Parts: sequence; structure tokens; C-alpha cells
Amino acid sequence: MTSPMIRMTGMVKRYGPVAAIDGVDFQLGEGEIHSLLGENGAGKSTLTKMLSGVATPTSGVIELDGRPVTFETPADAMRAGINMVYQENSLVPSMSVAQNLFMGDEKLFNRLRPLYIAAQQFLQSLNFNVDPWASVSTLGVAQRQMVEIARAVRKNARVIVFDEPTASLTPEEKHHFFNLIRRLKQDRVSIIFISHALEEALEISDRITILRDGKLVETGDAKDFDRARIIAGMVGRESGIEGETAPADAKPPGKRVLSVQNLSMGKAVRNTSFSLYSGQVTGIFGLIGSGRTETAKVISGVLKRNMFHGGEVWLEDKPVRYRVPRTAMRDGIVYVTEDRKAEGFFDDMSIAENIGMGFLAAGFNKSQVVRRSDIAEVAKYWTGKFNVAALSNEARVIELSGGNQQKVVIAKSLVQKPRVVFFDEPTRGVDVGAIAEIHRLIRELSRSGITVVVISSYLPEILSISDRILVCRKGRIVEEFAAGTAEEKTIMYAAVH
Amino acid sequence: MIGFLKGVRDRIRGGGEYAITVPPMDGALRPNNDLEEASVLVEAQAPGHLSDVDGALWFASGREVMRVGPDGTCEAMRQLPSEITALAVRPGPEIFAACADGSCDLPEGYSLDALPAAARRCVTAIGAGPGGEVYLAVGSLENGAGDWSKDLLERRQTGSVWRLERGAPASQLVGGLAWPAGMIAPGDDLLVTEASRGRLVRASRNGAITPVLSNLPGYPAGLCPDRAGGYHLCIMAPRNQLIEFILRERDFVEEMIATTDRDHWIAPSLKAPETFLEPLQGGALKQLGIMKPWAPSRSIGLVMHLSEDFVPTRSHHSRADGKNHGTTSCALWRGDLVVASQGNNRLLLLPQEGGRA
Repeated sequence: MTSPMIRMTGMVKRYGPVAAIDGVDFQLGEGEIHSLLGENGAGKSTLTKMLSGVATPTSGVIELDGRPVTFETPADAMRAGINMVYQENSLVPSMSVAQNLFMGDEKLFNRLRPLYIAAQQFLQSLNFNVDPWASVSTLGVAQRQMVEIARAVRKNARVIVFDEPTASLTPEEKHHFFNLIRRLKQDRVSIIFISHALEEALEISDRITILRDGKLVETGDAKDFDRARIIAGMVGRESGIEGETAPADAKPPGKRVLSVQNLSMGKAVRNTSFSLYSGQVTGIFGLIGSGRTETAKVISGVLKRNMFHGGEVWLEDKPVRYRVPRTAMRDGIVYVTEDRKAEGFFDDMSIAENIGMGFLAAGFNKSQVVRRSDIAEVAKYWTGKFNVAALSNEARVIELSGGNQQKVVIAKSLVQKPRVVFFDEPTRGVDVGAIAEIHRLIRELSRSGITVVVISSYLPEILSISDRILVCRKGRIVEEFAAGTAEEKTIMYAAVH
Repeated sequence: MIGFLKGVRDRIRGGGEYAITVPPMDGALRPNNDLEEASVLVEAQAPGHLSDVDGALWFASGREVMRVGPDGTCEAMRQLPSEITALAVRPGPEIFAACADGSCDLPEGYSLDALPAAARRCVTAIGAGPGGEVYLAVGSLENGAGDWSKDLLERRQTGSVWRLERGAPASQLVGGLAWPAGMIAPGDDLLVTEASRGRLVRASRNGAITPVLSNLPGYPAGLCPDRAGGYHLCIMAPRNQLIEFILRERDFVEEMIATTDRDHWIAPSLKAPETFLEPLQGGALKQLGIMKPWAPSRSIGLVMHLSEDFVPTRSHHSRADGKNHGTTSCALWRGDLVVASQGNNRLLLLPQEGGRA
């Protein structure tokens, strides 16, 4: 690379005593596509936020075209030609797509018709199938992402930072997106590409930088990297997921435990049917908004199915209908939430109290009074079983790491002695060591005869842990694969078509 | 009173008895093309009621009792006055056959005289018991043996199982069944398929019924024991939501039966479509040239293997885009599984572990 357009030297960003970024150097050339890779919490977003003026560095120097610059606000960065497309979108939901696209460029008197025509032409030029007249609030996640991308491209930026741009795009949309990136590169626009999809990074990038725990691990030409090397750099060992093929001891279906028949709930779950079998891990894959979570929530009583012709759920040979989770729990059906911070635990309670809540909710406490010693005993057993790393069981759950929080949430559910467990995104935001432990735990559960469902958006996880794989699309299960017969592309094809 | 109110609530909300739902075909019932890819043993008109006796395979085809010898040659052994509706063969050979016109062909000493005339016209299965006795399944007292779909639409439950012994009048063992379509007597108890209720029941000699496999995704027919333990169970047609809905619309059903040609009824069928007038045969879910396995077809080929405790463990399918539908009967012959496809007029050979094929 000749002289870089952007040079970040010795960047440090501290939040209190914690260093989110610790002495990282980063360079970006003109017309370069540079992938920034790392696990959750590695510091990718923080580094780019400092570049785009969202976060102020604790120390370090940013140079643009060889001159030191300081961006106090995102507007400063934008004026310098640096744009960021965020994971969480920043559109105004009550405005139309066209209005969002041209926001900030409005004239004193605007005629809407030319605005919409220009927006239409611009979106078409990017091959984005989005209606410029539509209100942003009516768009799905993927379409909002497209509008975000289009807005950044329209600003004639010199540098665009894409933070997980493809997470919610379909394969066709991804194809168009990568073509767009290549076109931007031809126009000498520099791209910083943050993604967890390693194959995408390898395919599209000129150079790759890997961060781990806020520190730079390595930077190099993309052609010198492969998947194994990237993972080794990201996690500090070979792989986060134990193999990405079917488990060696995949189990055939046992007795049918739960049968979902033509279940419907609004537009989220549409006439879906599937069965769950004892002793099996059933993986459910689907794109965002495909109705996986809602289906699990309806079965476990968190949400209610349609009042009229909402379908049936059979638990063994008995039709059941739960209006609250408590009755489902009493029948042994438990849902472990994907949003543990909002729904999974009481953040101002201790580990023991949280696990105790599960114990009490299941109705195992037979006496009229709750003995703290009983709760402590139960908590001690489960934290020991799950290796929850905490000073004591009196520590508050909010103070634990993501992985340990997740273990507490799982323990709180398993203390209820369930027959059927739905794990919704069980390893989201969890570090690699905890992922392996949670996977081991899930396997142990299923091998002990419990029916386990793992809902995940991460295909390698689904492939590695499932005895059978169901694919959800538009609110219904559309395909089933046995372990060992499924590949990522066939699963994705079923999820999209 | 509470039951009445619950019924009203279910009717309004589509729950309980009024839930228009169908169990999914997944897990061990995940669709494949085994029956479509199976080799053809014999082509014959509407074959059924298979039994393996002394190394020969016996079956009914139209009015004829057929035999496939150990060398694979097929010959007609007997011709009866009308279409055979049930057949069983015991070593000897002793042939037990019932016909659609109420006549029968039984060994000396056996008689169906004790059966009502309507029952004699609707004998759907005959099973040989271990002690020399024979059991007969009567599908319905209101309809003939070829009127299963009509009996289903009318929601009749007048089927029964009878015990037949040499020199003694037939006696009714069990009544109130919804079209028993297959039966075996593997031990002290009988296993009977109730086609219209979609279940497999165990009937004890004292007449008690215990469901052993309920809520099947199709209408079960014949079954046979597996050599390695468990059973093979034939499903002659799939259940689907449209038909479940129709079954609850009595006025519509009456009008359809009265005014519409039988081939075009919205009802389960034993054969794949031959005319575009067929309602909704695999119609809704063919996408990108691929017939989705859950297509709402009226006919299907499906044989499922059950473990000894009646858990489905594997299955063989002919899907909505296939032809080998209407699987009504199966038997083990020379170690391999032979399946009768009434919808495609052929006997199919499915090689089994340790078989000769």
C-alpha cells in the first residue's frame, strides 16, 4: 500500500477502568476494502466510532491524507467524507424512504415529485428493491439496511464504514451489495467492512485486520488469510465452534414429545407444523423475522396464538394451550430467551435469587415459607454444574460476563426440570469459551432424554449442534434436514426461497 | 352442560374436535422417494391383502386370488364372483376371501351367516389368529367396501371386528370403529387400524380397545409384523386441512355427495391425479419446479416402520408428484417388504436387510 489515506496510531479508548481499544494502529488506503474482524467486544465498532466522530479517543492520533484531524461530532467526520452505516439503523421511521435519503439536503421549498423520482432512480441504480414512497416504519430490517447503505453512498463519501451490513440481507441482496462495494472501490471510495461472516470478508477484502480484546492481533493482505487463520486470530485458538458439521453421535428421532399443528399467530406465525422428538437437539434456522422466536414463544405460553383457528399444540397425546408461561412450565415446557438482559434475569438480584426464582416458579417449594438456605443450596448445585465464574452466588447477575449471565439464565430454566427446552440464540453475545460450554451442556441435556430446540441465526452453530434441522421462513417451517445431509447453502436456499 | 358449552366454544374458536389441523410428516416420516424408486414385482389391477405363506406371496386383484411363487412367477389361483374386498391365506393353503357382493369363499366349517347382510358386503380385512381362529374387520354397516371415502365424509363409526371359528357362528368382538382397514393378530391381542380416525388400536379378546398410535398424518390401512421386531404400517392417503375442514361441513358434504361425480369429491383418494379437474392435488406448493413435501395432495404412498412400542422409526414415500399411491397392504416376502400400490396397480419390492432382493 502506498501512503495511506487514513492512519490511526496508538488509539486508546477507555470506559472507566476498562480499555475497549488499547493501543491499536490502523491504516486505510484510497480505494481499499479493509475488513475489520474480531469477536463480539473485540473493539471493532469502538475503533470505527472514533474514526467517524461518534466516540472521542482517550489517546491516539488520527491522520487524514497525512494531516492530523480531530472529529468532535459525526458531522465533522461527514464533512471530511467519512460516513458510517450502523448495525442499528439511524433512519427516521415516520418519514418516507426518499425523505430519509435526502435528509439534510433539502431546499427551502421542496417539490416532492422530483425528490421521489431521484430517489427511485438512485435506488434502482444500486439494484435495491425499495419503494421510495414507503414509510420507513413499514420496512423490514433488510430494507432499512439498504436505505442506510444508499444514504451513505449518496453522500459521495470518501470512506464508508459498514458495520455488519449483510447480517439481515438475503443472498441476492448480498450479491448486489458486494457489486456495489466493488463499484465504490472503482470510484476510489475506501471501505471499512465489519462482519462476522468470514467468507464474505475473505471474498471482498483487499486487506484484513483482526482485533481481540481491544488489541491489534494482525493486519495483512486478504490473500494471505484463510478461515482457520482468521478464527485462530480472533479467538486465540483454532475454532469457536466444535466442527461445523453434524455431531458425530447424531440421534435418530425418538418418541414424539410435542407436535405443533397448523399453529398461527398474526402475521408472525402462519400455519406452521412440526414435531419434536425426545433425546434430540432440533435446530431451527431462519432469517430475521422468519417467525422462529414467536413460534417458540407461542408454544411456551409467552405469546398467545390466534384466538380463532390458531392451530393446536399436542404435548404427547394431549392438546395443550398455554396462556401464560407458568402453566407451560408446569407441563415441562421452558423457553430460554434470546434477550437475556430484558427478559432473562432480574439484574438487581443475585445469582442465587435468580436461580431461586426459577425454582419457585416451578412450584417445587412445598412449604409456605421460602427458606434462603434451600435457594442457596439449589443455586450452589447449578452454578457448580455450569461452572459459573463469580466470586459468590450472592454476586449480582448484571456484574457477570455475557457467558456467565447466559449460564445463569439457563440454570434458572433447567432448575424447573423441563421436558422440552427452547434455547433462543443461546450463544448470542457470549465469548468463545462459554459457547463451547453451552454447547456441551445442550448436548448433555438432550442425551439425558430432554427434548431440546436450539434457535439460531448462526449456521455453523446450527450445523454443529443439531440432530435435525428445521428451516423457518415467513412464519412457517418449510424444510427439514437430517444431521449430516445439510449444508450451509442448502439451508440458506430453503430459508430464502 | 359444561361439555355442551365447551363444544360451542370449540366450534367458534376452531379448537378441540373442531380444530382443522393435521399432524406434520417430519422426523421419521420425512418424505423421500423410496416407493417411487422401488422395483416393481408384479403389475396387477388394484392389488391388495398380501400374505406370505410357505414362501409364496398371495394377494387379491379384482376378482382373482393371485399367487407369486418363490421363483417370481405370478398366476391366478381362484376367481370369485365379484371383487375381492378381503383375503387371508393360511398354510395349506386355506383361503379366506370376502367379496363386494356379500359372498365369500371360506374353508369348510367357517361361515359368515351370523353377520348382518350389510356387514358381509363390507369386509375390509381378514386376519388369521394364532389358535386357528380368524378375525374379520367390517368397515361399515352403511357403506360398501369400496365406499371408504364416502363413509369418511359421512363420519360413520359403525365398523366392527368379528371372530370366526370352525363350526361356530361368528361373534362380534369390537364395535363402534371408524372403518377398520387392516388387522393382524400377533399375540393375545389384535392390532386394528382405524382408517377414518387415523389411529392404530389394540383390541383385546374381551373387546376392550386401547389406542397405541393416534393422530396419524394419514389414513392407516394394512399392516404386517417386521422380522426384526416392530411393524410395517401402510397409510393409504394423507390427511390435509382442506379435507379436515370439509369433514366438519355437513351440509356441504351432503350436497357434494348428492350432486358431484365421485372422482371430483374433495376427499382422500388412492390414486394420483389424471385430470385437471382433480381438486388441489399437490397444487399449492410447487415452487421453482420442486414439489414441496408437504404439498396438500389427496393421495400418497406411505409405509412406515414402527418399533415394538409403536414409535415410527423410518418410512417409505411416494410423494404428491409420484404415482405409487394408495398403499393399502404390505407383507414380508423372502425377507423383503412387498407393498401393494392400489393407486398405480402394482406390487412394489422394497429390499430389507437380510432379504433376498
